Amino acid sequence: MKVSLFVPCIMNHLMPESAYSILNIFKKCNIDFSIEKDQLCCGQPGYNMGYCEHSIPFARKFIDLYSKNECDYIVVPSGSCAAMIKHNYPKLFPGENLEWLTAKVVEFNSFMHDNKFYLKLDMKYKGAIFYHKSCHLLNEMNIDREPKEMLGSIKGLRLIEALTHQNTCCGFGGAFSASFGELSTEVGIAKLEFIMENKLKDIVAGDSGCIMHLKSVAMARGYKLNFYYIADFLDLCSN
Amino acid sequence: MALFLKDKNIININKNAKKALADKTLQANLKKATAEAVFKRNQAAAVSETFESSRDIAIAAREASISMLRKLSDEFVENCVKNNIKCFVFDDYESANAKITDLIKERGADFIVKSKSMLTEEIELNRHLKLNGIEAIETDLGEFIVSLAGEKPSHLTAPALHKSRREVARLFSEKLDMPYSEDPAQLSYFARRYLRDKFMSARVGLTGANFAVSDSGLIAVIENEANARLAINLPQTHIAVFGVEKIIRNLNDLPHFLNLLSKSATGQLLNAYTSIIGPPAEGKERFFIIVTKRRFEIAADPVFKEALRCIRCGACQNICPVFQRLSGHGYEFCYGGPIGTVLAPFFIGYQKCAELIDASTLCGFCKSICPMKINLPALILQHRFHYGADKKIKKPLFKHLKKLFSYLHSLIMSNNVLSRVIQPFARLYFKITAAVFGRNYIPRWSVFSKRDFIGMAPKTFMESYFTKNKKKSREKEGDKNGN
Repeated sequence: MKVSLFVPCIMNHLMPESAYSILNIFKKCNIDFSIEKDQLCCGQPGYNMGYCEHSIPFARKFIDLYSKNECDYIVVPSGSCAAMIKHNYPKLFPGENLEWLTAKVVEFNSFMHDNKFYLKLDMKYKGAIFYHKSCHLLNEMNIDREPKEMLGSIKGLRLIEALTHQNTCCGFGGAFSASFGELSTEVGIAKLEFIMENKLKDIVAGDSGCIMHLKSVAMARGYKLNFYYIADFLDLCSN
Repeated sequence: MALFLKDKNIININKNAKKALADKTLQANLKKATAEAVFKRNQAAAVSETFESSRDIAIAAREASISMLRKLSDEFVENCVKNNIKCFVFDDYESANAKITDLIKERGADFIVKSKSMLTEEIELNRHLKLNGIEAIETDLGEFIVSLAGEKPSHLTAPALHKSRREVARLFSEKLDMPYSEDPAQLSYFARRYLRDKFMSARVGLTGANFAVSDSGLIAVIENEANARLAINLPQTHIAVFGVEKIIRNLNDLPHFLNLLSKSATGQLLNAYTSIIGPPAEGKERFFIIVTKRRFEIAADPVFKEALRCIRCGACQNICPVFQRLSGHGYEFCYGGPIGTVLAPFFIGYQKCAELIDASTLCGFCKSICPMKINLPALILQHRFHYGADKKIKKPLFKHLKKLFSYLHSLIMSNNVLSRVIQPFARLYFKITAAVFGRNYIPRWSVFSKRDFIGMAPKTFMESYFTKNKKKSREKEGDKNGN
């Protein structure tokens, strides 16, 4: 099985260590991986701001780049980027058959879970972690069971998640976070207050965007919390 | 400059959010009420064996009725006539308001008892009646509270959701001379006695309708306080006002809608009172006022027709992180929350909604909770596409800047050379802000002491990974040459 890793912008620019965690996991699972050197953004920012014409150059390049790549899977470690490629690219090019691409693109959590790679990691941890369900992972990609089962398989770990009525967005929302700074920040604060009230210290999330936003809010509030992108945590536990 | 629209014509979500967030009582009320509502809804949906199947059946029923709305509307009116109910269909608000006013005046009434109806909010009936010397007495407890406070409802099913028990107690003691009490039972008993007198002497009762049944000329009114039942049955004349999208094909579909509405709105397995209203009793009269404004147009739209599936349960409002803080009033439109954002451009125009359509994280929880599975985030996004593409819409400066940002992002980041060249400049920018402000500063993002920014990594993953790999491959080549 040949895998090509797509590195989302936030991970590439702000938290490269998370991409290295993914590579560590791939190595531990003996996954034959490669990375396309010329990869760019998936084009989601323009699309969500309402300018699909601005996301077309990104989508075109993505399609061209991977049309020459003979991998079995393109692993995308982000619910929102994966949803952009899988659900929105076909809408950008209505006349084109992109099934070969959408079938190859798989979100990191489902890739690790559905192929049972996580079982090879023999993971251990002592203590409780809070799992933040990233919105696009949950609501756009319908990926919920996968990360929870992977985290649940870690020996000694107590997995804590918000009940459905307490489960909310981290407040990021891309351009929303700048256009509606105060609203966005308050949603993030509420999320962190919930974590603080429950006396939790370690937070795992399925999308690096959520980590970026929650960490930024926690920095200003002086909350001493540890944030992990899910691959960071799986990697940590498998040592 | 004609190119830019003056910002005051636009619903200012940021300003409204600032005001709402500064009101700590409001924030506490909203947090408590919305969390409770979602919790109850989830419990009711979880214990029900029929909720999911009702969803599918109701969606199919609504899809069918939306696709033949004009035909159903005609059929409904015909069947109402057979039931001795007088029907009037209006496309504009003014005619609907004028007709209702005439009907009330002709009966010599100077006040009416009214049950909860969002459509009367849409057409602003109360304001119109007041101008004509008619008082509309709201008899739903929540509506009664907001009308006493001189406010508008802030939620589709819980109009006084934004108010605490204490605020209601203060309101009742000030406006109704009730001895101060925070006991909900005493408060509602007082309101009930106050309203009972009005019911007994009212000549006209006005209600909305949750559903209208085409093949039998009936309407269904759903409630928990029996005030609608009194408004329908006690006065000589009953007027029901509703939008044409409320029409469903037949009575067989109705139980599924009731199943969904009660659970999604209040978390009840079934609401307390369901009235199926047909022919008037002997010596009494009944009128149906049907409003079609923009509805046929939405029904014909291949994308937005989905929005007409809405049964006005308010679940999308309860779960929305924006609504939970902004409150219904912050939307400045009778329908707030995700479904309101979808409907607003049709009813008040795109220009006013420039900020509103952007005020969503597109988190998608509304899509999941919606009993009718309306893809609300996709429809909000569709409005953004339409807004961006329509050159006829006058746009404010901030929208032009947003588009410029999106364009530059696309221009630079979709180019392999430019996207690399710009990185050192971005890092330099953060170095400067760190020197000036003592932290990473992004305009519009980190203006608040509440949110910092984690900053950029010294090297991007792609830079560090490929320099490392280059070294490795060079070493490998060196080994080969050595051998």
